[in-house]
Amino acid sequence: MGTVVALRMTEAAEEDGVSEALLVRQAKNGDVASFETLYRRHEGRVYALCLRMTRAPDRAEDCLQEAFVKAWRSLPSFEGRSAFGTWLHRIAVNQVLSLQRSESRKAGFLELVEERLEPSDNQPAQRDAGVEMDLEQAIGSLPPGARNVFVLFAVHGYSHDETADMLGVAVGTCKAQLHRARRLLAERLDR
Amino acid sequence: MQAARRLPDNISPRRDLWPAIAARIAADERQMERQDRWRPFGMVAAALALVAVSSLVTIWVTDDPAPRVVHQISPGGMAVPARSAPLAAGFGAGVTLGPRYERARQELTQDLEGRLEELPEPSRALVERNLQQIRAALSEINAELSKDPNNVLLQQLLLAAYQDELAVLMNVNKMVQTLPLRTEI
Repeated sequence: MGTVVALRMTEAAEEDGVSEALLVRQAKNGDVASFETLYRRHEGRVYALCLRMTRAPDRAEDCLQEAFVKAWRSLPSFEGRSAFGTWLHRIAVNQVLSLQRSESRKAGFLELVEERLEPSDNQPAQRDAGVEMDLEQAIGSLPPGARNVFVLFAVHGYSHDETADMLGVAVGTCKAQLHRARRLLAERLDR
Repeated sequence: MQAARRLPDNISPRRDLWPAIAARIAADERQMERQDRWRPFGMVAAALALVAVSSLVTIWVTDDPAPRVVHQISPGGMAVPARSAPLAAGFGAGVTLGPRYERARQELTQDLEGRLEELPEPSRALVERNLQQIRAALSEINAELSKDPNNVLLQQLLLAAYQDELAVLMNVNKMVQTLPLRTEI
């Protein structure tokens, strides 16, 4: 699955003829224009990742912006051992995790409430709305831990190892969170 | 899972974020330039501070205003002919001769002259010669120790010399006690 991601990154990288390696090299030498080109190539994928992990466009934009500023600052240390896009994703995921940690108390409380309210057959307000949650909304309704794993693994195609590494959790935890995410999604989409 | 794979992995932000990113990058660059401009001054200031601190440390180490504590051992009561000057023994910081040693030495030296007179002439000459040699050695060692007070070897030599001196004094005492009294002859 990691190969799929790398292939997609490569395709995106070569889309307008200038090799990504060259752009990265120029950006490392302080060429802001090259960095802007890199930004234009990757903003959509990084934003999609941030949006799904944060569930809020405002916060996703903040994370995107912060991730690219950090990427610029960290460019001298980028050695090219992974694709530039993967490296960027890692920075963005760290940014989102940092945001989630800063909101962890609130998020933990919401997660608890969310799970307690889960079986909603006897909750007319939600059922009466009659709106089928689509997959995107269902993903957004997942608890943060499960959502992060699902977005990276199932939507963006990273392997369990890569996902666990990016999120700083054990592979076993990653698999358990994916299982939990699938169970919750199945329940919510079947409703 | 398959449906999730089909979700778009590329979503455009609602607005162009590049101007804000570029502004942050430019601000970073300006800050770096400012730091670069001040770096030589900072380095000079750091070098000056280093020189000042090392000078102060050197002065503090080499110019100790407090005199070193020297434990002087007064050879009071030495009644040896051809006496040398009173000896001052420095054993380095925190080292002193034990009180038992000093007491024994004082007692033995106090009546040394009287006891020597009780000895036969050859024995007395031998004792005097031995004591002269030991005290000469003590003087030399003390002189060297005054130049290098923390020299462990010199301290050990000085201690050995004092022990030799004590041994001679004790021997004199024993010799006198074993002599027959005039009344016994």
